[in-house]
Amino acid sequence: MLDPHTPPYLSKKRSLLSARGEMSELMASKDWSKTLLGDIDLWPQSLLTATSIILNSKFPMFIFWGREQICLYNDAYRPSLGINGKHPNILGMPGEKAWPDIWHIIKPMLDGVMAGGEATWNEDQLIPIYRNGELEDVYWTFSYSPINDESGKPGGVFVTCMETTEKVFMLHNKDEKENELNTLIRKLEKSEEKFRNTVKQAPTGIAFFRGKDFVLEMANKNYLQLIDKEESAVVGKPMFEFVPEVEEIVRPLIENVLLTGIPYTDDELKVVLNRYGKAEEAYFNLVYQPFFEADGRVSGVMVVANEVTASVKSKLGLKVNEEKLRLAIEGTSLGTFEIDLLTNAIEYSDRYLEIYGFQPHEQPTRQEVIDRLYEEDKVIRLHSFEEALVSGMLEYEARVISTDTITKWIRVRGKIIYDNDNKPIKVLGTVIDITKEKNTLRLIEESEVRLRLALEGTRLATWDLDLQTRNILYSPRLLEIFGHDKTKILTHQEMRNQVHPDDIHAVVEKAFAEAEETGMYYYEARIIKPDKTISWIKTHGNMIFDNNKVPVRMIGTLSDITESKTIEESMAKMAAIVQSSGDAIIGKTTQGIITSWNDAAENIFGYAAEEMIGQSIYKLIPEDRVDEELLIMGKIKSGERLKHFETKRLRKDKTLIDLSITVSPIKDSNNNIIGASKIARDITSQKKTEKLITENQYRLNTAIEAAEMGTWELDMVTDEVQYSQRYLEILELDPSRHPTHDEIITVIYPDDLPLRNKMIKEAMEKGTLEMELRIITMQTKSIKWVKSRAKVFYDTNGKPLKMMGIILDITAEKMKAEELRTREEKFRLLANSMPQLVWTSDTEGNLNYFNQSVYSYSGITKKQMEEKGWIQIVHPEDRDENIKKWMQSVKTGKDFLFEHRFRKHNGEFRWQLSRAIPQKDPNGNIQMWVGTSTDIHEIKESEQQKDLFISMASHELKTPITSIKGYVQILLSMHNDSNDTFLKNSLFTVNKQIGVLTNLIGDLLDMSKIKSGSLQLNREAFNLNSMVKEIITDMEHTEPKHDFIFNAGKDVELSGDKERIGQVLINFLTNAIKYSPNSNIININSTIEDDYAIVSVADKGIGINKADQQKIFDRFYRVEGKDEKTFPGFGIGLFIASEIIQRHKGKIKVESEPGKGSIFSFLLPLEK
Amino acid sequence: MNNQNVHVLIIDDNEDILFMLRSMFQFKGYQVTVKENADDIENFIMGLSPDIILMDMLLSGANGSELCKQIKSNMDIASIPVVMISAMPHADKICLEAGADYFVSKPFEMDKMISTVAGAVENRNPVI
Repeated sequence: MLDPHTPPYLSKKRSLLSARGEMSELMASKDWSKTLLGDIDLWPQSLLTATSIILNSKFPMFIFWGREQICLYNDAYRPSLGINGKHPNILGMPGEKAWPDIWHIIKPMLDGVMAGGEATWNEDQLIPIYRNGELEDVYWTFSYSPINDESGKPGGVFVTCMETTEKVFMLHNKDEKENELNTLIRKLEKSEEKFRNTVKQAPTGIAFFRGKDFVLEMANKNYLQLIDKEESAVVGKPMFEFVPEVEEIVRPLIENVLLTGIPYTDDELKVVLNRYGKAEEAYFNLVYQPFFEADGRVSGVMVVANEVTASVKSKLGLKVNEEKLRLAIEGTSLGTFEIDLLTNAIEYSDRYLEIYGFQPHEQPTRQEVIDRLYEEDKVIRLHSFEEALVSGMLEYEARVISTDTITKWIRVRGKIIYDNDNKPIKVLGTVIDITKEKNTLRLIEESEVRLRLALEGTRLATWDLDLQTRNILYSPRLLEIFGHDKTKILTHQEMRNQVHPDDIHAVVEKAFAEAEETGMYYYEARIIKPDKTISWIKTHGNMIFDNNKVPVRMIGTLSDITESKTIEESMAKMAAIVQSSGDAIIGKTTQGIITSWNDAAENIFGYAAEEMIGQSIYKLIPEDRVDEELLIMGKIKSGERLKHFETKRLRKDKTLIDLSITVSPIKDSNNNIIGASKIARDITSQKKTEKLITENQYRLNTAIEAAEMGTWELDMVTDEVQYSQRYLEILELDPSRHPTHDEIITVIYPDDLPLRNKMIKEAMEKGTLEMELRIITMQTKSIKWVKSRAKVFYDTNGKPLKMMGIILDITAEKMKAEELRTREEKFRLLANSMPQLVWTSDTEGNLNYFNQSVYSYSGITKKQMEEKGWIQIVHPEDRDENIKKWMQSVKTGKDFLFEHRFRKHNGEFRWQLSRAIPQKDPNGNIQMWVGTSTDIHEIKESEQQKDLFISMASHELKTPITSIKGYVQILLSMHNDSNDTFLKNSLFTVNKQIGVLTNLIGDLLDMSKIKSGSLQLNREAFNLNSMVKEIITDMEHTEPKHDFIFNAGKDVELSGDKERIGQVLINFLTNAIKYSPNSNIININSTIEDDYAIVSVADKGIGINKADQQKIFDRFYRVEGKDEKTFPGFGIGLFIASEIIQRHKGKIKVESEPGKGSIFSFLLPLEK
Repeated sequence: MNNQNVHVLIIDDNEDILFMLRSMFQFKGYQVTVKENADDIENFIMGLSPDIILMDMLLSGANGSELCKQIKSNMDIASIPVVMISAMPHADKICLEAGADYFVSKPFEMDKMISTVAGAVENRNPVI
């Protein structure tokens, strides 16, 4: 079956090249006969095979073929040639012609391969090429390998290459990489440098040699280990018998100690030791300590030795290592891979397989490769991939399972390729073995640990204590540690005396007791140095026992560990401070990843530590301030510190918070910046306070200005005075003369001067001054009142330094006060001469003045009045209502009017009419109340009599009226059919007027009842509409000329005095008739609205103007017509109606427009 | 019932009122007996046997409401309707409490007085 893509004319050889793609079409269609290669049919099989391989590969590949290095390349390579570059012209072109720009670089490599050399490997090599219309810097990772032709010799060069420009630019610049390496190495060097001058602590070898031959008397295990000898083989033997190899170096030193008694110390003393079956170089930090006999003779030498070979060697070896490391890292070759994310297929280089521990012929699947990773690191890989799909960049470090004892580390980097729909389709990447890099780091870490150990052992002092005599021998370093100079001779007791009292029993004696058991002596304790400072010491020792197991001696070392202890303590303190700080303290890496988060940070930002550690600091930064953070980090990276920078940050709840931040770089022990600490203080309240201060300052200035205050400041030391313009204006001093303090004092009114001096003196003690003085003005010689207020400021010793204050012209105030005083005097004089009771009250309603009449009337004294109050003279029955009414007036500011009985001095109660009126200032604010009480007892009594009279009279009047009315009605009935109209009209009028008279009498009676409070209601249930109808029917009898139109609403039963309510309606109706001279239609409505039954009477009469509407329900008010014609009636009808309705808890209303009529209505509450 | 067959007893110590009322009821065709005082009232009524009694609440020498109570507690005459009249405020309440069947306040409309009495006679317990 023919492949439809294979043109039929292709030869067999051509069909070998029939892959899909641009390049294969190009090659198939190219007329090769015109090239140096000739027609494809003439190509050697090896070239065809190689070409077929590259055309089918997705990996960028290139072939230089033959002597002329003819160029052939595949689709994957093609993008590297860019646009408007070499493609497609260089296809079939000789290499030199195709690549003139880089020929000088690649020719030697090509030649090397062609000459039978090894394949080359170049990683991230800069080879600029011409493309995209210009010469571009392009980085390549490539390999040149030979393609052997039929003769078995290289016929061409196979180039696999990958452009790594992006990788180089985006991930790591080559220089940067070198820098990174150099940093690592420098770090190592530095820590080793510190190491050099230190004695490697444990195990400390201690040995004691006696006599000129240096016979070993005693040695600890460590010493024996150092020289790799058995105790039995060396004890009792001269030193140079068992370590002859060190004699040359050691003998001069140790003999000198024996001879002079001067200890010898040396660091990194190099000797060659025969041990562990070979001669090897060894380095020691050691002390040769003379051993004195009681007579002062030196009888032996104690050796304390620490071996430091390892560290010295590692230091010496460093340079070599560095070179090796550099080569290792630089020479590390990248493995490359390509993953098709759609099919999960993976393609990779041999190196890739090698890194993952596969054999070159193996073809592991992607999963199989992944399975080579440590289980824990698979998660890292997965996570990185997930991130990469979003960010486009892949990078992670992981461990690969290997048979080596050393953990193998790899770093994978890659780039995600997306299709046009932005869907990830491919990952192109590299993998590199970073085990060595990692190990270097570990080495550094380890050497740091060693350094710490070494620091502890630094500058050891040695000591030797005879437990029987308590004689102690020690090296000079011990004196130094104990704070003495080298000439001092310390006894054992003196040393013990220097131990901190708290540590004697708990630490030193305890350690001694333990040593008696174990032979090992160890403690850390505090000592007090002669300068009273405290040091921490650490001691290590061995206890030596005699044959009876009695301890006879102790030998040991002692070191000063104050620094590390202090650091430990201060670290603990620091941690506590950080945690308890009110300021947020946040640690972050230079990449902005949060590494620590204290409680205050949680309070300020609302995030808990576990939410934030490991997160980016950008989480806290508002979008518009991202640049600011970049700037800050830039400064930090250059080692700068940022102090009290005010900014805003985002809280968890997305609100902004005002902060003052201080950012400092965090450095490691080698001074490298590894992050930043950020201290953030919530300044929201500070900001508010600042604002408040500004506002207050403004307010103060405004107030000073508004109050027309003068300000002044007096220096109490120099007596200099400073003042504002207004100050001088108030004192009426000439500003151009700059008056001195003394000059100012001269304006004070002489009589007030002693007072002024006294006040100033008092102010010194009190701290404040407040006085009112008179001054005499220079020009007009008039007296002015000024008020002065000031505050005194003191120095730290409490001595007054300064006085700052204000002055105010209070002349007007004083005058007014004076005027008030005189006025009040006048008022009192007047009030006291009045027969009425006069009193005043404050705004709270407290009566504070009574005139003489009050005291004379009541017969009580001023004191009694003050003690028991005015209420005592009020009749007990009137008190509650009195207080209620009075407080109501005080509250509302309305005039007080009340009738009550006051007890006279003789016990008699007399009626008084009290009236109080509020006294207001020009702004209408009540200042006080002035009240009077007038004796109305006589009036009241006569009124009561009058009421009684009216009540009686009305009854008496009714009897004749009944009689007259009866006869008139009989006559009317008798003459109903008569033709005598005059008679009939007369009788009708008489009857009607009798009705009016009856009503008037009723009203009079009601009035007196209301006044005497005896208007009683006879409550009963009644139908409102029926009642209205009955009344209308009655009215129709007496007022036949009028039409009463009743529009009845919903039927409702009410409870009330039917007759009285009817009386109200009658009143409304008679008024409607009375005030509608030109209309005879009266509309009556009944409705239910809300919780009320409403009855209204509407007329088309003369109406009532607004002002009068307020008064019509008052007593004795009557509406007057325009023509000043008065209408009949006492005008008390509406007053009574209003009273009746109010007694029923109802409301009475009027709506009216002059000339159009009125609507009177009453509302009665419905039964619940 | 024909008004002429209705016998009204009117008791009032005010002569003018008494005669005015007599004129009013006579004009309307009633048979009227007047009495100026409350003396021996029970026997008087028993002897007279009026169809209805019209009585002022305030009588000189006697309390009208007390009088009413006597009448209403005397089984022989208790069935006779009593209409009381007064010019006093709240008299209605006192009178009705004392057992009066009707109350009319002074001054009154003639129509109201006549209709009250007519109604009272019509509604009285039938005596067969």
